[in-house]
Amino acid sequence: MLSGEQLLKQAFSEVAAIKYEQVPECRHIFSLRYRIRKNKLLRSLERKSAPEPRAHTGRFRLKYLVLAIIMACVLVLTGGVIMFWADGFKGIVHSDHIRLYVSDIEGSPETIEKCCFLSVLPEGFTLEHYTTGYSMNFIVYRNNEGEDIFLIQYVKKEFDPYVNNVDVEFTETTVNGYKAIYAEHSKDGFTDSIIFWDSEDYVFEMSGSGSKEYIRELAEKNEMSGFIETE
Amino acid sequence: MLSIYLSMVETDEQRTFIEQLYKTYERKMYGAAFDILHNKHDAEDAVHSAFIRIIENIEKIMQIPADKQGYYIVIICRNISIDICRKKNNSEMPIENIDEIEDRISFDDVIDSRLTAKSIRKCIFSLRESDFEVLYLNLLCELPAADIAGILAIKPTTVSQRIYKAKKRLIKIIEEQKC
Repeated sequence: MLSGEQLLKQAFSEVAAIKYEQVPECRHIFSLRYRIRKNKLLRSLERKSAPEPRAHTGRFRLKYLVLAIIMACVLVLTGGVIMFWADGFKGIVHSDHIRLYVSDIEGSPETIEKCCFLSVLPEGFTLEHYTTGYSMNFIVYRNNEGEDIFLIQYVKKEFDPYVNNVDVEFTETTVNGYKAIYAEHSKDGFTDSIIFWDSEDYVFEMSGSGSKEYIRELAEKNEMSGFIETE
Repeated sequence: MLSIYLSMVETDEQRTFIEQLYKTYERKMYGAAFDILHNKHDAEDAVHSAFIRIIENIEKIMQIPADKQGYYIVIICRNISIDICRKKNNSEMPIENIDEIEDRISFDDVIDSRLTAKSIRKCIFSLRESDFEVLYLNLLCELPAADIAGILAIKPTTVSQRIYKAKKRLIKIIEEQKC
């Protein structure tokens, strides 16, 4: 025979299970901003190996002094702001992200005039979800294993995403002759990559699992064959 | 700030635990937050803040049985969402002048053969959500007031009084059900 307290606990457990089931589980596509913060939080949980002990030379190294002077001059000239420069792109570097801009916006549309969908997809991927707007379209493709490919189409004037730069290094490349930058990040055997390219009228961002060359080739195939366009 | 999180998570087991929580509960937490906030960005902020709170209390949460973790995490997310809502509406919490309350309430004398399991569940369903949550954490998860205070980011004395008042309200509902 259960005591009053035990009966109450049992009832609480049953009610909690019902209430938990009633909480909706939304098929929400988390924003880039959220994903950046989440990845940053998870990476901060990784244990860092202890740094190797440095030998005490007892002498101040001249080259570090020269480097410090050069850095100070650069900071003075740029007003204390560290800039990111690449062919076709520029950005402001912060401690854990870069705010990216495209260099040339002249003559580009003020709004999204035609929505661009991928015409070439890796095997198994289908259109999962998309949202359209005046200055940005956000499209998700997914396969049966839950892997995503994101395609974001930006109006050039409104292109200013915050891009994670912790353990990530952007390098210049091209997509079908268009200026581009890309980067990849690997952890625990998994690799994710992202690429931005300045197409004639819009800036595109594509990201997903795989190496940066894989993502670049996918972007190039779509530029060469042409996007599926809708108004 | 990041170094604080790093120091709180000491083992690979804890890190794996957090990653598993993301996989299992992230969307549910978003659903709970959006239900209150009705704003995607605020709901995402609430989920992110909830995971920070979880990391701050990771040792306590790992001791919670797996079948109770789900709603426990939903409670954290809901409370953070309510705080966000209050801040947005600029409504300030009243300063409570609360003394420590000794809680000697026992339900063994209150629950008798006149009550069926169904009627006890009905009484519990009648509780306010805030009462249910604090009793869930205290009675079912067997957390002391100090631990609950850390999870809900409120003072231990406030938690003690909430537990006491929630139990009193539940007893009143049960007595009414018996009549």
